[in-house]
Amino acid sequence: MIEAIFREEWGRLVASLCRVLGDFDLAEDAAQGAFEAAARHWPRDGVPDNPRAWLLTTARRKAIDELRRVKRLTVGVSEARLDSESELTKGDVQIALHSEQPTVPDGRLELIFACCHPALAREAQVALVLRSLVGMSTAEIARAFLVSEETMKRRLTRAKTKLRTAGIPFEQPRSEDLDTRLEAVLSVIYLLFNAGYAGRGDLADRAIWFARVMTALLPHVSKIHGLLALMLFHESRRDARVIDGAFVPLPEQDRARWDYRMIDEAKERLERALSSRESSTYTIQAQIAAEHCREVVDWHRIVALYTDLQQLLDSDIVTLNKAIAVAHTESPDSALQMIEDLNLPNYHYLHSTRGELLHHLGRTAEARAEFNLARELADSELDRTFLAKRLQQLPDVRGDNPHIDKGDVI
Amino acid sequence: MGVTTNGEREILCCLAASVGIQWATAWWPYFSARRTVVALSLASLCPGLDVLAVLIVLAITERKGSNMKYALLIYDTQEVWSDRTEAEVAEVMSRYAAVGADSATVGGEQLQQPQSATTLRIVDGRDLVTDGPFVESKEYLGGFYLIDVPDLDAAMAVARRIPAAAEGGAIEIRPVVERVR
Repeated sequence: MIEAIFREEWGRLVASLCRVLGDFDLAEDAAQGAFEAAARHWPRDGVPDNPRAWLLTTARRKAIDELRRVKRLTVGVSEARLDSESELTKGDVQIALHSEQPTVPDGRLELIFACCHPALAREAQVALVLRSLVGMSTAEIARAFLVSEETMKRRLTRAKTKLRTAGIPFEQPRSEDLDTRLEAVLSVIYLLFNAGYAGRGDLADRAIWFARVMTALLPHVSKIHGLLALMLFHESRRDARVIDGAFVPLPEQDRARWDYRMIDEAKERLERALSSRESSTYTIQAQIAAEHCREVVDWHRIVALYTDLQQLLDSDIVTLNKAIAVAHTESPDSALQMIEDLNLPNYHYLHSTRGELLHHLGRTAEARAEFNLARELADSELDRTFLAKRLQQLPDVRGDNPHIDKGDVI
Repeated sequence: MGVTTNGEREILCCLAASVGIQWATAWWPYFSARRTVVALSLASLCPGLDVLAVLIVLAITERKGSNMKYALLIYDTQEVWSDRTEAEVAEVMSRYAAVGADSATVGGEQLQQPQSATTLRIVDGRDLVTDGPFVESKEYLGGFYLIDVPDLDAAMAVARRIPAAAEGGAIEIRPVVERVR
């Protein structure tokens, strides 16, 4: 119960504190202090009627205490004098609290846009979002990104310094900038999701939660629904995707292990995204993912969707994914020709795809060489185990391509 | 927190004398002339209101509205200029002039060609002078603007209008360190 409140309220609290204080570190420390106080008091005294207001009031007090402490250090006021001043500043607390008490404005959107400002490096954006909006600790973020806590602490400090000194606004972007700024936020969400997809902690969960927050804050922006749908489709197959430490390609997955509630929600979100005419790479990818969920996959439709996607995003990875669909609608031979000239050095999916196609054409020796290369290049144990299995089965197995489960293009 | 000018400091001193120097020195960052006037008039209207509290609240809320200064450092390339016809040069210069005339712009200069630069270091107490810019590269610092805007987004909006940004060069946006004078 308390944990759920924490998860929901952390970002809101940091955001409204940032607004009033204009200082990220101070806001975060005050929020942290308020949550620690809640963890002490609530189990004993019960959860207050309005936990949000309780947290905000407590955090404000902590912030004002801290401001006073810093002032005292820098100006060198004696302890005795501070007592009389604390009387004075009570008025400030009252005013500050009363001014915003009735309805606490949700400043999360401003916070999100500030954290994902293009003036910050992508890794800084990601770290800031996880700390300030999602509320993960520095140690947790460090673990998720396989760096030391010290490194992550430095990264966060640098990012916050940049936020402060560069004058990155805590405001919603001007309308002419909104689209590019939104694109940056969506990239951060999808990057988190992919890190989670690759098996790192619960980042996929966090990314979905973040996307839900965004859809609640900006319900009219269709591509956010598209991104959420895309992630839900992928996430719904989580339990079927990995069995005994090995990756299971989509056509071989046990469909009983799919989460159909999640798939239903994904379909609803996709419909919402498609209700506007505005197209986006995320929405098209969600459409492709939806197609893969069908009992009988319509490969012609998938080829057409990839063609649409190429209009928006002409990348070799899209072509590679399209080629897999073409292998179904035309022949493995034409698919092989499509990917002949792709410039994707060290991309192990290219070689595993080639391996599958060559295998289908009965060119077993060449297929084996490609699978071997893919296995050398693979960056996850799941993929390596899967490829080793493929190699073992090679002489007589006829299977589908390993990586159409996700068809990741970004 | 607050930026105090000389004029403001005079008022601040008068005020400090009247309400007690001790806490005025402790709370000086919250004062500014305008804020003090607002706070005092508010306090005279509502006798129950605490002047100091109003000042602090004003100081906190003003943080958001206060402006920042940025230097827009213009990095240009030689080739772009040598490829331009006379008419094109005139057209580009007029766009630079428009940025210079913008209400956000508080200063700026165009610099002579990098070949005109002299770089000085002092090593072991002796001048070490080299002919040319500090860094030799394809892009060179061609000039700068000093602008006064609310935030980075506004600074980027001005920077976007500088011709070099879209024509082979780049604009480095650097916040200026604010000093209390």
